[in-house]
Amino acid sequence: MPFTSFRFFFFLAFVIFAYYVVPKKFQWFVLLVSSYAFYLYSGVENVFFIVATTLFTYFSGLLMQSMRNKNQKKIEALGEDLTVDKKRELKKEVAKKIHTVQVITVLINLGTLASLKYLNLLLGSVNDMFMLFRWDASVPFVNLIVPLGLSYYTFNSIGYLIDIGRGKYAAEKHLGKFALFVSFFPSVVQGPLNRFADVGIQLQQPHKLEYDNLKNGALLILWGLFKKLVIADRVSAIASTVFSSSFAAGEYNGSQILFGVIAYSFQIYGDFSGGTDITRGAAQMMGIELPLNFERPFFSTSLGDFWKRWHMSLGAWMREYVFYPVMLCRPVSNLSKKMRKKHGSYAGKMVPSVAAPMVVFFLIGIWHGVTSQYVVNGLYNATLISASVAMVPVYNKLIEKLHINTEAFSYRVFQILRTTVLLFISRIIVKAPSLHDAGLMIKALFTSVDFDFLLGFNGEIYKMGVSQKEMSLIIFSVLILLVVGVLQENGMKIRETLAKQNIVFRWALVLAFVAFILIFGVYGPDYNSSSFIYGNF
Amino acid sequence: MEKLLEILKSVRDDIDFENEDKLIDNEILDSFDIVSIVGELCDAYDITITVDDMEPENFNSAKAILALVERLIDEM
Amino acid sequence: MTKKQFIRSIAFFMAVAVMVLALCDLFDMDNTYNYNQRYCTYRNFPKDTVDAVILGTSGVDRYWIPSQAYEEYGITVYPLSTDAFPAWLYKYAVDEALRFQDVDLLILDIRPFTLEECNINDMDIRARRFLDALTPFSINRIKGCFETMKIRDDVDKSASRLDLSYLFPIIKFHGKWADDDYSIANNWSSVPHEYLGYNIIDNATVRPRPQEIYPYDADYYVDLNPYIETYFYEFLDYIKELQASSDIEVLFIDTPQVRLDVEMGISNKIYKIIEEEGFECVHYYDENSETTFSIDLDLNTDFYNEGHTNFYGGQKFTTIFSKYLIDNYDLKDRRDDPKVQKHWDGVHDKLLNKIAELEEARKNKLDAAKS
Repeated sequence: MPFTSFRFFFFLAFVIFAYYVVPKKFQWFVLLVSSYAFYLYSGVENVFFIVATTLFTYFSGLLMQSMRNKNQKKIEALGEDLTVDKKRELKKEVAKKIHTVQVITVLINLGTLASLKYLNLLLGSVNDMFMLFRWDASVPFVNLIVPLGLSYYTFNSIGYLIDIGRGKYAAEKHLGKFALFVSFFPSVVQGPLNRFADVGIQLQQPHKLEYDNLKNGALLILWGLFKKLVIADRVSAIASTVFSSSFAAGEYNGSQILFGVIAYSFQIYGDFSGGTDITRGAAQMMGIELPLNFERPFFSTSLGDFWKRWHMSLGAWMREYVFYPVMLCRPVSNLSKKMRKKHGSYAGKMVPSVAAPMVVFFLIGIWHGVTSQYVVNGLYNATLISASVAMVPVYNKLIEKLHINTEAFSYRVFQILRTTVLLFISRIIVKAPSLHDAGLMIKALFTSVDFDFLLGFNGEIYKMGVSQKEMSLIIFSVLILLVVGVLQENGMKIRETLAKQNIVFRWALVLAFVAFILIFGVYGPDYNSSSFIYGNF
Repeated sequence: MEKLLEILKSVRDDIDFENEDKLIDNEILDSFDIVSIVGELCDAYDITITVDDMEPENFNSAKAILALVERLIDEM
Repeated sequence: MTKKQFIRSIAFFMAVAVMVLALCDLFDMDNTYNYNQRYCTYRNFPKDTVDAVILGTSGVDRYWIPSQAYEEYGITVYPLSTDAFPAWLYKYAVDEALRFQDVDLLILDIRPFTLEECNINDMDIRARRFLDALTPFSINRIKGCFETMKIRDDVDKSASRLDLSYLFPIIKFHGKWADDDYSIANNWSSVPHEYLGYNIIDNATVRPRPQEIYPYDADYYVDLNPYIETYFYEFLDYIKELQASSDIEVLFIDTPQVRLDVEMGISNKIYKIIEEEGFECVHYYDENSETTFSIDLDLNTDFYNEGHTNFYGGQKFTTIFSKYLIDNYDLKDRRDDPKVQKHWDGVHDKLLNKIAELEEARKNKLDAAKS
């Protein structure tokens, strides 16, 4: 059920109504039923996988919990007879066992994710290898479906398992309430990624009908619709034109590439963040606060900053469950200590600062896809981020020598532009028809400039998928985004500020905005609204 | 506390570690800062900080960091 | 939530609803042949000023010149037609006509029933032309939307069963803003029709296009399209009920056109059925006439295409048909009624001036082409 369909809004209205009408102790149950109804709508076969993952994770959590409880009882039973050392030993023993269980269950979940997503690709590679060695064997392709939200609910489950393994909180005993955490329908499709301790608990609690929640949630949904229907679904025409395999056939015009990559950037931003806004708005209307996923990524001052503003829940998940563990795991920290002793603290810092991002971004690259383009993109990001950490002392020296004022507004603009260029390269790597084309496109981007095209003088710009009228609309909409972004970057909370204005102004603004989306949104029978780009992950 | 403050300032000399108590919550320290601090702490106090210790509460203020360090020393 | 907040929310949703309906007016079916104006003018006539309506397709508003009949006999007979009017919505068109005026005589064009093939896209367009000319609150419009969804589903199972875009045309037509010729003035529906519903099509109305016609065979019958046939019989039953409960009179008409033999066969079948059901149907085909028509229509000068007369053919048709109405039905002379005068006086002069203008323009174009 696409988030921008009328069906979904009728469904959501019904769910919200039911949510506040039932007695508070059944509210979580309403959510569970609606989440599964939503999931079933995407195909009955899909449900098998999410149920399997839910059950497996639920029992694994209970297993680890019971191991910890038993051990605790053992310690208590021994009471005074236990020395501090013996106590520590017992704790270490069970921690190791629990850790083993944790690793196995996480790997099983991860393996399921990888096979469902990538098995056919892997089999294809295996077949390619057979051909390479001229073996006559071949592995048949398997007809597998990728269930809705597979990556998201799997990562949520893995996070839960690791938390239980670390003893952060007790395992959830109630299967229904746990199943709700895994399947919560607003966020199962494309995130944000949730922690059990935060969202999982919120989902179980009763929520009173708060007018402000309903209102602000609805406004957020409206904003998301604007970004997705008016901007993203419109500029997608430009992006598909420029990045199609037949475009310019190798004779790339740098300014057209620039136009295309700008369009693509707005497309994925509008699509993904718009979808997230609808998700978070829907949850807010039920009193549930989902984590932020985007925080004005266009204002990032560095790649590192970017990954704290884009797909924030994935970044946070990686930080907690991959980045720190890798940074602090025994082999890495031992190596780091050795380097520090031999070559000083800078060298010691470099080891984790290079190893961890490499792993994280390799994973993020694969999260999106296993084609060579995604892998290269992952490595590209990893290299740049590790390099930026390595270069800190060099930068600092430069800044001192050149007396650069890093507080100045102009410096900030420089940082943003620099980051934007780096990001454009990343987008081209991913979206180009092939790696080879990506290389050509990037080269063209920096070597050929065509002002006639960019400024619309030769009219060619209106043949890239949008008409002149549509271009004006896009520019106007992007300006709205920019103004709101700048206001927010300076600390304004838009919905709060709006609530303080006069009722006539508020109503007029919201009504005008609704009309704007109804008229200029890309939806309805004559349009083919592109399905959410991140929905297949 | 003095030794700790010195170590912290050696990683980021622009932060007021004496008074700041939302180092993580307000994102004043980023992941790389934390890793540097962890590295320095491990060196200076000869302790091992593991992933399980990477809670925001443990790093939100100089006081919290000191408490973590003292606990790890104690458990050795 | 406090009571005040609840009331405010309801009020806000009502404001949204009003705005959406207003937007639906600006973004709905194409109004190229003034369907909106024709219906809007009718809705705004003072009560009891229209004595007869002619319902149907373009076979009505390219033929009947209301201002001419009014000038000559003072009768108020108004054409409430839309191009390619859909047969399955005939009942709702009748109901809509009767909503606003206490009509004495219903004249019903049979062309909607001669549709040979039901093709989904075609049906969609036919229906929307009519539906989008009605006001959003008309119960006939709402019923018509559901009826159209039903017949589309009957005809082609792959069409979606519930199509909200009939009820809220903005869903389908909001993309019109990007059209080069889109303007709010063109789409606002509360604009009166300049010529009491007679349709002027700038170059075609004064253009003579010579036609060749099949001879008429009164015994050639072809079956109606099965879906249309069902609706035809249902409609006839409905008309009978209508006559039983009021003293309204009903007359069917088939305006003269140049048609293929299949259409001729279907029309013959329709005349037969109408007769069998006890109604009267007027048509102008004659087996024994050299020109195939029983009236004095000139195939060289009076048609602008096979299906429609131009202004000159319309004049001839109106003269003959209005005489027929005067002779056979009791339609009053309304020229002394100030309510009627307000809307019907002077229109014919305006129309004749317009025709003169169009003739002038046409002459100039032809002269310019020759030189």
